[in-house]
Amino acid sequence: MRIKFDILLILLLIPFIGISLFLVNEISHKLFLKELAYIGIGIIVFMAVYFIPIRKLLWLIPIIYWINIILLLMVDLFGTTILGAKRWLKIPLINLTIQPSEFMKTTLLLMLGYLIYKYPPKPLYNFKEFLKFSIYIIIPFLLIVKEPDLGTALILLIIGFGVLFVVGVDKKVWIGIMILSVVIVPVYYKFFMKDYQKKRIESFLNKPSYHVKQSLIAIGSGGVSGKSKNEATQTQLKFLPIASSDFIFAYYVERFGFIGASVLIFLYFLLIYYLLSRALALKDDYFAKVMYAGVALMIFIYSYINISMTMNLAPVVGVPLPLISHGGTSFINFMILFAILENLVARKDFLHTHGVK
Amino acid sequence: MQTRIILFFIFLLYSLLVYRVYNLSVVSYSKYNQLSEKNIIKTLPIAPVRGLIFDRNKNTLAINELRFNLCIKPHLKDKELNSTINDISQVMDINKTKVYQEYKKNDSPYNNKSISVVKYLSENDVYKIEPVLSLNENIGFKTTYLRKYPFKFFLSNILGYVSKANEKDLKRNKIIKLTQISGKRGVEKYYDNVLQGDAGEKKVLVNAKNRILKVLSYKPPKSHILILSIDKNLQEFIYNTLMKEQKRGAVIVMRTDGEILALVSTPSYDNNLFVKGISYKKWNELSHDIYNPLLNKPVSGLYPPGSTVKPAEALIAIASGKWNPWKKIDCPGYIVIGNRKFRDWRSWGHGKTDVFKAIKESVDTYFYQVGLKLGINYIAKNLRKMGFGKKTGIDLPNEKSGIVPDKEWKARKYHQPWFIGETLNASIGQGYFLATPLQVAVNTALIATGKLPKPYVVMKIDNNLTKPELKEVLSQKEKNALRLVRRGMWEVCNSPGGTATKHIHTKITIAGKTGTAQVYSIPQEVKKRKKEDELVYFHRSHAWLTTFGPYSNPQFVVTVLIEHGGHGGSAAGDIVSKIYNYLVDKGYIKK
Repeated sequence: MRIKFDILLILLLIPFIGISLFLVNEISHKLFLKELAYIGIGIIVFMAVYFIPIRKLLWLIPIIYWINIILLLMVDLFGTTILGAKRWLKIPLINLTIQPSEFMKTTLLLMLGYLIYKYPPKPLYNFKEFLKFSIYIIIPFLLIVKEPDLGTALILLIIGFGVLFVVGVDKKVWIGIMILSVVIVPVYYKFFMKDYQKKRIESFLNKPSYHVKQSLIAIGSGGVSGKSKNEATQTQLKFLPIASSDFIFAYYVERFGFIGASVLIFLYFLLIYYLLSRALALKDDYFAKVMYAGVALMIFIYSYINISMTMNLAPVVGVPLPLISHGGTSFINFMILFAILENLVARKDFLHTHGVK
Repeated sequence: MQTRIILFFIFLLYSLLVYRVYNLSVVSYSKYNQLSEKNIIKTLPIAPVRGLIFDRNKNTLAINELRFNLCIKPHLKDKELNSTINDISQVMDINKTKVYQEYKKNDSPYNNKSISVVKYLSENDVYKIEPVLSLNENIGFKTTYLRKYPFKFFLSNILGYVSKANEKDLKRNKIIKLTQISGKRGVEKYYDNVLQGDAGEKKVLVNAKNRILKVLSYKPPKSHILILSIDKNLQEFIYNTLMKEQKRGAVIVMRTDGEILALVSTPSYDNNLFVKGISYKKWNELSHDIYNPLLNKPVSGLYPPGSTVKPAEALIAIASGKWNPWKKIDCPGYIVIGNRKFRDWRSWGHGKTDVFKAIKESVDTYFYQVGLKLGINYIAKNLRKMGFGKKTGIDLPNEKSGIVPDKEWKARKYHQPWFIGETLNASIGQGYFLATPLQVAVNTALIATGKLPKPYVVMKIDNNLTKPELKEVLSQKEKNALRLVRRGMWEVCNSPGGTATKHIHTKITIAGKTGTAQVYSIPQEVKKRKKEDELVYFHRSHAWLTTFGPYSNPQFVVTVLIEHGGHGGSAAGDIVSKIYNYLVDKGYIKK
């Protein structure tokens, strides 16, 4: 058994973690220590996942998928409502609230990987096959839209169909979808969108909130190469809210300016480029291919939405900047995903000896 | 292939983000940098302390006393507020509902400053209660200044007072927003913008919670001092003398160039009452007092000038060229116009009278004839030129302009024609004719010097001296006639038979004119409140005496009006004499 390890992937992650630690430390040393703990836990989780024989346990994936769907249904039936949205499930006895839509992103990715692995394209999926896969994307999508949590639902949709596109679907299908979405979006806005959602979109189009205004000031005052820590008053004097998580990009630019921002975005592109080329290189290892492409798309969408919202290009939704925003859940989630990728690389041999088929 | 398309799209979309960052932090850098500076640098205004007021001899007339306001934090819930008010009531005597109402009146979501509920506590009060109350974190003390007027009553009509600013005041001057008080009467009102001072400014570095981190620059506030031309001792002396003799009215002591040394109004009021807010009861008492203590009588009181206009009329007659001052004309006890008798004050008349005797004995029938000869319009036009019928321009608020009646005025006011009898009444300063004591004083100064002064009570603002303003209003003919009129006025005070001679005992020679102005009607207010037999006082004539001195080199004008004082010479001669002797003794008049 040949154990391979994708060391380049890990090397590509280190700059992000470094930037994150540096920025969080400047904002609050206490948060920095917390972040170190998260990273520690992340590494432990990484190791744990790395040693799970995933390829042996692929049969578990549909079960996980359907359990997650059931959880989403339960949210609809017994969920807790906070601020007009029903997204949380209260687990009795231990008094813990969970958000099943958060797990769904990883679950869906695994499920698509499982399906495509089981029914590989030859070499492109036709319309009928496409529809069959789509159902698995549409079901959670609709359940999450109903909560309502349009942001998460759309991310799910983009990741799902993005993966199908990378793997290969007939051109005619894409053109059809494009035409369809041009028709559907306005209809949806008119008839199905909740008032608070419309209000949020309208307020985004009209004028930025206090948060976004301060974020724009932080980014704008960064200049070409940024300001020293003491001069970065937007963050250091607390004008920029949630500077360590959702708006960490604004602090980063205040600190390192346009050059820093370009470098960071390039780093994201580099990571995504690497992940997608790996996916391309995996050829007929469809499960791993789907996972690589999915993680790449996830990083892209998260980073894109997060950066857009700090610059008033997208409405403010609670999407973290991947690997940089301070926050345990998001970081550990990505650690799990990278562990899965490393795991799949390392245990390629299971593909033929212990495969499902 | 698909991977390449996706990568291309991702690259394109990321490039858009980079472009956006470029636009924000490179292209619009200066705009956003300014906004970030605006976030952290705040300019805080600092309230100036109200300017002090002194008299001409550096006696302090208005001061600011350091006091403390007890304040409660804003946005308290009822329960917490009530327990806080209870805490306060344990250590000091307060009206709980009043404090509650005061708090509620000022508490709003937009107000983040603590609310003053008990105002102007003295240092001694605070020493006693502060140690206990400081345990409650909702309670605090703010320093403030209480305007105080150390000399009550006799200066109130000049100084006026300050009290809590109202909406209109707040709009008038930005600084009032900081000081929260404004002048309401007297010098305090007229010079309010000067006395408010100039606000200071503090530039500070703040964080997002508006906490001050560092003071960047500091410009102290500035106060301006007023020095009045008033001699506090003279003012006090005159006021006390009049009050002792129960004389109500006005006294003006003015240099002939307009500088006022005393401006007395009796009775008066304690202006300190208004500073903290006067009680309704006290206000009612003052405003309905039939002796009008709130009226600044020299400036805002209107009276028929009576015989005090005779010198001016003699001047007009002589200068007209139609009247021979030397010619002795017959002046009987009355003259008949139509079927009405117009009486002289002396029922048996004055016999043959020239202009000197006419002034000396205040011969009414002489001036009736002047009036008939010149006509009301001619006389009125010239009297207006000489200070009657328009404001003197003194630096005090609410000055009245008075009335010099003529045909046009009556037509406008009553839509009625003018009767010849009214000309006779106006000729002796009666009828519709109304003047303020200050106008009479200014007119006397004009006769004494030939120039019409603009009176003033503020001599200096900081170190800037007020320049006297003297107006040339007389024609050459009138100037030539002055000598004769002055001579007549000299006789009033000095020659046997002069209406004031018996009552004048000055160390220097003065000249003047008495007046006894009839009261035609009594205000409704007085009628309602006084019994018929007590109304005798209000039926009595107003007594005037206006003088200048020294005769040969006029430096001062002293004008006295005693309400219902009867005869001018006897009512005012003594106080006028005492004033001139004071002026001599204190070296104001050099012999």
